Amino acid sequence: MLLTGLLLTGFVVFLTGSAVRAYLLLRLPIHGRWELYPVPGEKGRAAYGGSYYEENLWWQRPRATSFVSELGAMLGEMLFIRRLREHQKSLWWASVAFHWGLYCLAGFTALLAAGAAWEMGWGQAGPAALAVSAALRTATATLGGLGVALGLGGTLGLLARRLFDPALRLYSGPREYFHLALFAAAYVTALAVYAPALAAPGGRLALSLGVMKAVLTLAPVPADVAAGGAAVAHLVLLGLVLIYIPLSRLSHYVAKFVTYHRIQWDNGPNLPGSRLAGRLAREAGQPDAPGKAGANP
Amino acid sequence: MTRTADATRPGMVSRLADMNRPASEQLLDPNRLELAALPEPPGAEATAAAPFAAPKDSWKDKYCAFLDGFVGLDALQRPATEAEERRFLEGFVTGLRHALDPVSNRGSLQQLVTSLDFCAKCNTCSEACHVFAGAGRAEIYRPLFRSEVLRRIVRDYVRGRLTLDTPGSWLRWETVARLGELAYRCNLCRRCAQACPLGLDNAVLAREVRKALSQELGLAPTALHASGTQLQLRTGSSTGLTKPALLDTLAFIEDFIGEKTGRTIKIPLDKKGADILLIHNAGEFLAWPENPAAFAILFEAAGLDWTLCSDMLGYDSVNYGVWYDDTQAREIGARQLQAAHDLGARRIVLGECGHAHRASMVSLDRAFGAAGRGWVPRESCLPLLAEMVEKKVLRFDPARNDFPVTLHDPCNLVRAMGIVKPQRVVLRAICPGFREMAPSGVTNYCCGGGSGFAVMQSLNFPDFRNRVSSRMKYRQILEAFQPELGGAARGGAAGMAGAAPGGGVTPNPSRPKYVCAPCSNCKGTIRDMFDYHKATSRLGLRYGGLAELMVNALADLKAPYLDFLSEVGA
Repeated sequence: MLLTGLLLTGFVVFLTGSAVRAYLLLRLPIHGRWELYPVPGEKGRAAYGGSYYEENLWWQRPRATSFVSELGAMLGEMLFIRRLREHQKSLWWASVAFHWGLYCLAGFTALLAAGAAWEMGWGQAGPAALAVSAALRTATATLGGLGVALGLGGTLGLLARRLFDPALRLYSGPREYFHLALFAAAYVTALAVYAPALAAPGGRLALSLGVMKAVLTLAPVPADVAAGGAAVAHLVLLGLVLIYIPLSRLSHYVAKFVTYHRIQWDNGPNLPGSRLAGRLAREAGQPDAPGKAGANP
Repeated sequence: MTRTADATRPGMVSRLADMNRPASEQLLDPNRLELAALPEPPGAEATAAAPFAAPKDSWKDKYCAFLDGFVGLDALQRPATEAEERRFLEGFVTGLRHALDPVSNRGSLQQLVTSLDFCAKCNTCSEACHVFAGAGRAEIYRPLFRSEVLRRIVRDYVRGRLTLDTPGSWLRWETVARLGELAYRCNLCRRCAQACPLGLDNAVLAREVRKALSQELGLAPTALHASGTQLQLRTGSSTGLTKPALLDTLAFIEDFIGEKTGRTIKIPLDKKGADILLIHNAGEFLAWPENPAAFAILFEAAGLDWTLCSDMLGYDSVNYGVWYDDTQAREIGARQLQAAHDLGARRIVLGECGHAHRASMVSLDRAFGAAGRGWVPRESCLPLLAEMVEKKVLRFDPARNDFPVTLHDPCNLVRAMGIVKPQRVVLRAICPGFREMAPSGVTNYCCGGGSGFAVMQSLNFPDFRNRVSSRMKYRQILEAFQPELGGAARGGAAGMAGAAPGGGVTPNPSRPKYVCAPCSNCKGTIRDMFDYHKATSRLGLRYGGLAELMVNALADLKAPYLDFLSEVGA
C-alpha cells in the first residue's frame, strides 16, 4: 500500500504543486512592459518581429492579434525548443531528447490509465473491446519504450555536457547533477524492469497496468511488483520525481508559460478604458479607471 | 561559491569565487582578452592594436578598478573604514530586499523572480551576448556569470539566513563593488533574453543590481545621474541646455536651414493645441543640429501641424532613469508628459532616440497606473517618416543618396518595440545602395553604447566601450561594406554595380559609406567607434540619422544636405 500511496501522492503533488507554482507567479503584479520582439501574436508582423507601433496613429487603429500564431510559436518552443536549437545546437540534441522522453512518458501514463480503466470496467465483452485493449497496449508500450530510450539518452547527454564542457561545468552544482542523477536512476530502473520484456513483449506492460489499476482503485500494487527489487526501486524513484519536480527548479515549464505568454509576448498598451487599464487600477487599489463608462471622473 | 578553476586560459577569471578576492587583485587584465577578430580590409592599415592602458594609480586608490581595470561606476569609491564597508553591504542587501517587494518593485518583479529562480544554467544566453563575443568569451562578461553572483547573494542574504555577522558569511564589499561594475558591462540589450529557452532575462538582473546601488545607496555613474537625470530635472535637459540656450540653438538651426536649403523656416515653438509635439533627444541640438533641422524641413514641407516645446523637460526626450533607477525614470517621465499635457498637444512624436522611444512609450506605459482621460498618445517618428515616402507626400530623388548605406537597428526600437519596417521602407525608397547588416532587425547587435555607455565618457570607460562592447557592431559595419572595402559581402547586400567580389578592392576613403543610425546614443557610440578606429579617414565610413538622408534626397534641394558629400565633391 505504501507504493500505491507514494505514487498517488506523487501524481497529486505534481498536479497541485504545478498549479500552486503557476498561481504564485501569476499573482505577482502585472509587469511594467518587458515584452521582447518577435511577439508571435502580432498578426501579419510576427515573421519579422514587427508591432503595432509601426503604424502611424497606432492607438486609433484596431489591434490585429493572432492567437493561432502565438499557439504555434508556443508549441514550437515546447516541442522543438527552437531558441536552444538556434543559439546552442550542440546542446539541443540532448535537451530535445530529454524533453521528448518526458512527453512520451506523459503519453504513456495517460494511455496506461485509459487502458487500465478500460480493462477494469468498460466494455469488457466482445471482440471490439479486446481490439481496443490490444491497441491501447501496443500504443502504451511503444510510447513507454520511446520515452525511456529518449529520456535516458537525453539525460546522459546532458550529464556528459555538464561534466565535460568547462563552461557548463563551472555553473553546474550539486543541484544540477542531482536532477540529472534522479532522472537517470528512474530511467535505469525502468530499463531493469522492462529489459526482460524484449524476450516477452507485452508481459511487462501487464506489470505497469497492474500498478495503474492499483493506483486507480487505491489498492496495494500486485504482489509480483512488490516483490521485484527493480520494480520497487523504479516506483519509489518515480514517486519521488513526481513530488520533487513542482517543488524545484524543474518546474520551469510553469515559469516558461509566464515568461513567454505573460511577459515577453504581453505587449498590450495601457489605453484609457481598456481592460488592462482596469486591471492596473484594481491592482493599485484605485477606483475604476477614468474614462470607463460610469467611472469616477 | 567555490568551484573548480578552469585553467584553460591563464590569467583569465574563471571562478565565481574570484569575485570575493581582495581589492588588491584585479580579476581581469584586458590585455589578455582575445578580442573578436575584425575583418579589416586587405591592405588597409590595421586598427592599432594598442594595449589597454592600465588604470592610473590614483584611480586604483579611489575607485573600484579591480574588476577589469575599467571604471564605469565612478560614483562608487572605496570605503575608507570598516563601518563604511558594512553600510555599503547592508545598503545593497536592503536594496535587493526592496527589489523583491511587490509594492516597491511591482513593474519588474515577475521578470525578476522568474529570472532568479528558474535558470537552467545552460549558457545559451551567453551565445547571444555581443559583449561576451567581442571580448573573446572572457568569463566575467558571460551574462550567466554576473547573474549567478547576484543569485547567490539573494539566496544567502536576502532569502536565506545569512547576515553579515553570521559565521560563514562570505559577502565582502569587493564582491558587491565588482558586481556593481559588472552591471555596467551589460548594455541591457536583452539579446540574451531573446535567446533564453526559458525566457529569462539577464538584463533585468543587471538592471536590478544598478537599481539597488542607486535607489538605496545613491550610487550611479555620474554621467547618468548627477550629470544626467539630476541635471535634466534641474535645467530641463541632460545636456544642461536651458531654455534660453535652446532658443539660441533654434535660431541657429533656422539660419542653418536657410543656408543649406534656401528655405525660410520658423520652427514652431510652444504652439498650443498642435497636432504633434515633437521631442528630440536634446543631444541632437548640440551634437547633430542637422537632425532636428532635417525634421523641421520635412515636417514643414509635409504641411504638418507640429511644434517643439521650450518648457522644462518638454524639449529633451531622454530618460536615463530607465537604465538604472525607477524613481528617476518616473519623475522625468511624468514631467515630460505634463509638459505635453500643458501644451495641449494631441500626440507626442519621439525624434530619433531609441531609449527615449522605449522610456516614453513602453517602460513608463504602466508605471503611472491606469491610463486616464489625461493620457497623451506617444508614437515614433519612423512611421510618420515612412508615410511621407509611401504616400508620396514629398518628392524624393534616390540618385542623390547614391552611396553605400547600411542600417544599424537600435535595440530599443526593434527588440523592445517591434519598430522594424518603417525605416526600411524609407531606406529602400531613397537609398539605392542600401544593404542590411547581418544579423539585423530584432536580432541585431547592440551598438555597444546602450544603457548609458554612450554618454559615460569619464576615466577609462570609453576604452571598454570603443574596443569591447562596440566591437561586434564595428565588425558588422565592416562586413556590410565589404564590397567597397574588400571581400565578398555578407547578409544580403543590395546589388552594387562595379563592386568586385573577393579581394583586389582598395578602400576609397573619399567614397562615403553611411551607417544610418536612427538613435542619438547609437550615433554617439558609432562616432566614438569611428574616431577610435580612424574609420572615416581610412575607410570613408560615415554615420547619421534617417531624417538627414531623407532631406538629402529631396528632389527640389539645390545642394547636398549631407556635409560630407560637399567635402568629397559628390
